[in-house]
Amino acid sequence: MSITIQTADEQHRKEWDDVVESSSHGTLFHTWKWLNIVQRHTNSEFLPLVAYKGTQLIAIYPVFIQKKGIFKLAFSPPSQSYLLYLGPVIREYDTMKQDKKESLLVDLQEAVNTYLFSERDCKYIRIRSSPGIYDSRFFTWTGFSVEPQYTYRINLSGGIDAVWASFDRKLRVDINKAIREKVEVRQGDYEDLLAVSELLSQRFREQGFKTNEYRDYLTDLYNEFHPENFKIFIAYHNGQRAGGMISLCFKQIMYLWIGVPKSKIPGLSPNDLVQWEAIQWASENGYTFYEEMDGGDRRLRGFKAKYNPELVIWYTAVRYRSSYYRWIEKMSRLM
Amino acid sequence: MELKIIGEGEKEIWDNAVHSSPHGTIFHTWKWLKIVERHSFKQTFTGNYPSKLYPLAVFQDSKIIGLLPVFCYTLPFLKMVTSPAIAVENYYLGPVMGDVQDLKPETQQIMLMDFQSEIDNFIKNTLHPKFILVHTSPHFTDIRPYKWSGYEVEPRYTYEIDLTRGKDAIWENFGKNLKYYIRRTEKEGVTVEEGSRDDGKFIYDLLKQRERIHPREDFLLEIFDNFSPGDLHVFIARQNNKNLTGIIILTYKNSVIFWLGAPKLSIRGIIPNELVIWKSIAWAIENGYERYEIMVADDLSLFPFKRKFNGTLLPFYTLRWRSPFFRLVDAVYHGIRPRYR
Repeated sequence: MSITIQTADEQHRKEWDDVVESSSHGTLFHTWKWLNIVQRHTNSEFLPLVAYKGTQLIAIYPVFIQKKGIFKLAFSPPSQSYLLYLGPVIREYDTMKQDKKESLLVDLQEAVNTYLFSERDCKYIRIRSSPGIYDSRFFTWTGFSVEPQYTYRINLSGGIDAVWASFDRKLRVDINKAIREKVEVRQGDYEDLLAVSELLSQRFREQGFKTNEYRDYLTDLYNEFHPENFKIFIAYHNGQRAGGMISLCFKQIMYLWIGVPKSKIPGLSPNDLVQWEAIQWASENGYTFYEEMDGGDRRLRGFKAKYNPELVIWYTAVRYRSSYYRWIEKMSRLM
Repeated sequence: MELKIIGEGEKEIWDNAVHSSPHGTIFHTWKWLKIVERHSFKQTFTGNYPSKLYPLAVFQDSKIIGLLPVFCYTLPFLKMVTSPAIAVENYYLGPVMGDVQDLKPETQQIMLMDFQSEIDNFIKNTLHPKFILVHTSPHFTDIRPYKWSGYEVEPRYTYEIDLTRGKDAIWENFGKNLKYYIRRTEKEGVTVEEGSRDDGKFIYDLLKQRERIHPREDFLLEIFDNFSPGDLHVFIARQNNKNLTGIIILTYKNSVIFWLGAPKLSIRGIIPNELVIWKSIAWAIENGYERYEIMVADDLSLFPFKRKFNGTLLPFYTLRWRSPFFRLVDAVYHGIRPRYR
């Protein structure tokens, strides 16, 4: 039976979120509410694609179309959304037999490609699939170039003492020092969110990137997801904010989503204590993993790896509608 | 850290490191590499160019950090370095890190970065290739140091069956059709036995007729003479005393690899290739092996056959590095003729 692609609307909302819940690679970013907020803040057209086999909904595939000049480009996730990955979610993927997974992924991707290239006239598709789909052949076999990416996960199921013992020795010294120096970590509120947003923009400016305005985007997410799925941890030293992060909680995983730049206080690492407090909170509240998002950034490898996380793989897949567009892109990279 | 090219006199040190590492395979063993070196060559329109093996090892405080066997081919306009060698039926080889399983992940990562940097410096500054191609072995999962050093990385896959689940559970995991036709093939009088050197030649001929094997027959026979009966076994399917098909498997540590054979065969109502594989899986379980690998799961033409056994996917990686000039040539070439359509 072939797969048909439709776009979902408000009526499909519950069914959509049920699929997200049903598989381990469904994340908070895939939820209907989150995606609709993304649409409002990314200057893109949201295509909530749903795949049916007969009358059964078998997968969801959120795609955002953005225009560059006269070209329509399809992304999942879209740029400027501060999302590392998104991609498809297959209903009850984890319990399927290997051969069923394989056929479904290939058929689904072919159907989505046809829809985006033929019906939507897109010239380019970029998918960043979420961890949990470890098979990337469905991309390769349907014409994509695929690159493996990584994220870091700390397994909390062995208990918090085992997590602490596995940290780098210098990290434990730094955390203890921050405690001795009376750095205090508290869960933050809307005021703290605005401070994080400002620090984020400042960091992009310092790194030479064009600054995006994340304040309204973060505010909408805060209003929708705080406090259950969206948490802010802030470090205070001498009454001043000295570090912090925004973390997300969904199913069995707590995510370090946005961290603030490292402290300028000499000899003190408030962010290490922030992260340790968040890990303890996740462990006490029954989460199985703590994810330090993005293990592929060499600049941040040292900071993240000292917590001794495991590497978890995910993929970036790119396809051009024709070799002409691919050639232009390749040549422009070489210039 | 110190890089050394390992010589014949240190082959035991090499083999011990390969044996103790989770990345070490039979293809990394000294004997295998030396046979491959004798038989591998790069064919071009100007002639055949032989390979030269560089068994590279990185030491720290006289302890092996990691190994990388590479083969160098010097062509008129191109010097290339590969691991594994070309056209000798090796799907992967690549780096073997020392026994690091007891180390913390962070320590492993730093060690790998230093190892990769030492090896890369040697290859690029001493061998001066224009092109480097590495297919890593399964279980070698962190390829970030290669990405950070400008390599293109492509995910690849192989299938692995966990034999510790037992024969019944593995059988039950096969699809209905596969089970039915395996039973039917046996009922039709097809038997599977361990085969001889001549049976190995029979399998080679079948593969050659279908253009599914690259090296000459003497390569296969030299491998057979050096690795059988300990680490190489031939399984052959017969009906009415006539050979139908067969496979060659390799054993190393606790694993079995289905290496060669099972060429496409159309005999109405029976599936001797699938029966041979099932019998070799059963043999592997009876002989205490824990894993059975059906090599390479990403060849679309062989995928419908290999997927039937419901193995678990195991990733490995293809790493490519090109000199700036070859990057330009590649961009132009693949712009006109894309790698993926």
